Amino acid sequence: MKRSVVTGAVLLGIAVLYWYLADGIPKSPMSGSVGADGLPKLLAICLGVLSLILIAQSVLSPASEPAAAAADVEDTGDAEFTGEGFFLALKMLTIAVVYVLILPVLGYAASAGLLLLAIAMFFGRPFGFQVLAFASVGAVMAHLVFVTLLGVRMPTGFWPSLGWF
Amino acid sequence: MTNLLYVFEGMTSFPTLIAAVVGVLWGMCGGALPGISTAIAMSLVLPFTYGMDPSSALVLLGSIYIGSEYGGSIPAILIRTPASGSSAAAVLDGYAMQKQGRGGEALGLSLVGGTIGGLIGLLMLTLMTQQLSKLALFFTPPAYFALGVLGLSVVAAVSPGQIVKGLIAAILGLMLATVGSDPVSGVTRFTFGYPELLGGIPVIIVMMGIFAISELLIQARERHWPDEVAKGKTKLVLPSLKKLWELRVPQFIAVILGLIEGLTPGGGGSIASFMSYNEAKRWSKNPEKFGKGSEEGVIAPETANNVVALTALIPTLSFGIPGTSNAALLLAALLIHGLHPGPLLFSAHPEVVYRMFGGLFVANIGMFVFGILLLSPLIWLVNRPKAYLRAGIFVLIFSGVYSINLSEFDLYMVLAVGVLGFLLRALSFPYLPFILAVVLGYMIEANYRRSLLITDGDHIVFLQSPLAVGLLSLAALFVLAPLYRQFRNRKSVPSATNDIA
Amino acid sequence: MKMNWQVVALSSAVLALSVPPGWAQEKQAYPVKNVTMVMQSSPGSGGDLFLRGVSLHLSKYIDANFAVENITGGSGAKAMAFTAKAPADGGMLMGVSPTYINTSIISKPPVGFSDLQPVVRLFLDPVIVVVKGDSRFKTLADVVAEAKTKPMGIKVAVGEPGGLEGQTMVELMQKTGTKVAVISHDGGGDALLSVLNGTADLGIGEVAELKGQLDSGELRPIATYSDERINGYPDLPTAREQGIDMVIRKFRGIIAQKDISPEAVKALEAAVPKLLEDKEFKAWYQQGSLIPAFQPREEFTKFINDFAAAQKDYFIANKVITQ
Repeated sequence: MKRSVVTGAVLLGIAVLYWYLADGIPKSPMSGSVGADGLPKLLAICLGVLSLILIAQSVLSPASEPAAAAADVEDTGDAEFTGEGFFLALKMLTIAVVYVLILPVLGYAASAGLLLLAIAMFFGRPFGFQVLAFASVGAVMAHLVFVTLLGVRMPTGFWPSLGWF
Repeated sequence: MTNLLYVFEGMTSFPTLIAAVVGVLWGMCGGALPGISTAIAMSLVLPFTYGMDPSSALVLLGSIYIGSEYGGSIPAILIRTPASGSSAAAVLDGYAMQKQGRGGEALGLSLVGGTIGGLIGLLMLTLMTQQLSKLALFFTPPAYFALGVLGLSVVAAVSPGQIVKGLIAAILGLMLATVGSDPVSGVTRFTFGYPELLGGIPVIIVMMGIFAISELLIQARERHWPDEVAKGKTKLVLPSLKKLWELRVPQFIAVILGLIEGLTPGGGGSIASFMSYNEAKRWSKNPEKFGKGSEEGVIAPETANNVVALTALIPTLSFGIPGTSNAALLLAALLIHGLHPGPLLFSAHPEVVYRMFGGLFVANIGMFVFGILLLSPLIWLVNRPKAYLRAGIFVLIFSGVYSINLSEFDLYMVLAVGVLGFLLRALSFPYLPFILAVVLGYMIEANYRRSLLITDGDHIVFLQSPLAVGLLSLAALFVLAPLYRQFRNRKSVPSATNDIA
Repeated sequence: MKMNWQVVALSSAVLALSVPPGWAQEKQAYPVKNVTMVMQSSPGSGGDLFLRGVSLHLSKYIDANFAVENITGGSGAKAMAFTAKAPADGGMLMGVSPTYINTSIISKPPVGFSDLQPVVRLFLDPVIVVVKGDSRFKTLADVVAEAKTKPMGIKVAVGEPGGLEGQTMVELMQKTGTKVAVISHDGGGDALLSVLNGTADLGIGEVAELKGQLDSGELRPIATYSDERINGYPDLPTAREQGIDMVIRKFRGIIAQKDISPEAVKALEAAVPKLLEDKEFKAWYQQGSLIPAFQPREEFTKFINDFAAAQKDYFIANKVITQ
């Protein structure tokens, strides 16, 4: 299966789902002649049509696709994304999600330290004194800036329940 | 003449001077931290303005606004992390320059552009507040709708091979903008029962996700180049006067759009900077350079958001209508001091107003000086090994996003937008249309429907406002011209290459 | 964003300029030393200004320090959840306006108005009807008369959709059997601009945000939806006087956790009436023509319950919610 066919199919699914959700928007007498669902439904139709065109394009003219795709990429290096790229991105996303999950449990500073450690190691830094120092100094700095200086109520985690403070 | 004397007093008296310097410095530092928005940087000092004299209080807050609008561009350019919606447009070409090792130049352009924008904005504010405030009255809902359409029409300018993907990206952006309370009736749309989504997805979260998180996910595949340190100059480079003169067109565009967005309440820095970026590209001799490190693409949005920081005060002072939510804080300070903005403010309390103008002049100069002092160390900081830099960016983004609403929900939201941005980029969809649609979507829909309420559903309302007619015709021209050119090219040269940008 | 005010380490120079507050009055004892007052809207908004005004002066009458925290997001849902979670020792209060009731009813957040305890009501914000200085309308009756002959011909600018101002117009239409076009905006300022540039024939708003325009004569008030004529505008008749039996009670008050400490409630109930008489505070709130309307806990609770019931009926009748 070609990538743009899959993309088109997913987009078509989004269009249908979005239409369905838009149809469920409550009708209010205050919303005027277009209604709160007016633009959303229009968008759903447009997206549906465009995703069909996308599928048709890639089915009908298989050869021209990569050239067209590379023509107007805003940042260099975005084109030709491989399967490995997706996998590595997923891995990094997992680290990020784990951070959000442990944040309320471990508290801000500790989670920030672990995040720094994980990302630095993800990008090839070997485990050792240097990364540990980086992570702990970074966590302390983050705490100083956001909690001490700016007074943001970052999650404290389970630490206060230990009664050390 | 006495007014001029007040301006001079504002520039020289000790309290206003201190307020200007402290304000602009705090604004730059706070503004550079993602999540610490201008409004927050201002509200943090609001309690201290209670006891100050009114002009110093206003100078302090106004200077924070000025400094913060500039400060936000620093992380936008250096680490692709816009600290506020209004600095997000600077990412597009600023970060491209940074990747080419020209980050120092980009920051220089941004600093000088911002200073010029601020000074021009201040000049307009000082000399023409009464006259310019009348201009705001032309922006009725139909005209504002037309302005939004004009901004979005730039989507049609992506290359022909990308037109379908560009339109899809724009529609996805518009879809994202429909989340939250309906702008006309107030019923909830696409909130899935989450009260966090009632106010819509905040622009700053979209920007952080689409620019910063998506970039980190893209870079995930570069893990095999662990020790690389960014090359290039590690010094701030100020543009020469000759260069500034070459860049006069984007700056002019930025001043006009910054003025319009500052004057009208619905807009704000993010719309002004993205619209300026658009128009600078449209009128540029080298539009193909945009997105790849164009100097015009940096100076236009960076001038615009600093123009807004000052022109937003025009309706604030003369109508009591804040041009942006940040200007609302200045309004608050005025009210706390028992001053009521409105047409009478200038005649009843000229000393307060004109001293403030003097103080804000000092703030603009201060911004330039602090910029020169602060930027070089920051450039050094981002030229550390990439593994550490990226880890630091992650923590910065999450800390900033969390501090907006103290909500883990926002963290998931920024990740979700980041994944969407990553997919757009990985599947080579142009993502500028997506961002423009997010920035402009609400303004277009809300004003379209408001306009129709005026005539009870009749579209003639868009023909009744000359400004709307003018802007819509311009938009139509911009959409149709490339299509026509493409059509003609295809006829004459059957195997036309698709590089009509 | 939550903030304590430590930032000012950065601006000690600014500190030097501020004036210490007066210490003259006798103060109510209070269970805690530092009190945080939560505000659901962003800094600079009408509600935020109100609460900052209160926090500035309340420490003259209560032996505690008051600071405002803006907990934005979810139209107050977030602030309500935040307040409910805090210890009920009086250290965390929330400043409210009708928005919190509306949000509770419309979006049914996990913590709603019924999970919180109203403590004291301070003010009613007079909602007024304004027209451009040179408008053909002199009274609200003129508006109704024209609306009867030209359905949907008159355009009215109101603030946020779903707000109390828009509701005012719906009620007026229902009461008088007329139809007008109600155009909601992004906020009061936006709506005001629409009146000034002639997009709308009249606007609905609060005196505080319209004051500058009213003073200069660019805008002219034609009615107030209050029980009595309002301070500063003795010639402005109420809607009732003009034969339209409508009163809008846009309240401003303080609420707290369900099990809020009785000492804290007692201190607030005793201090607020004194605060409303405070000379400086009075000068401040009279400029915005706020109507002092103190209610202690019991009365305020009843008021809130009645208000919420009326809002719910209205939303159901207008299909904003289903049941």
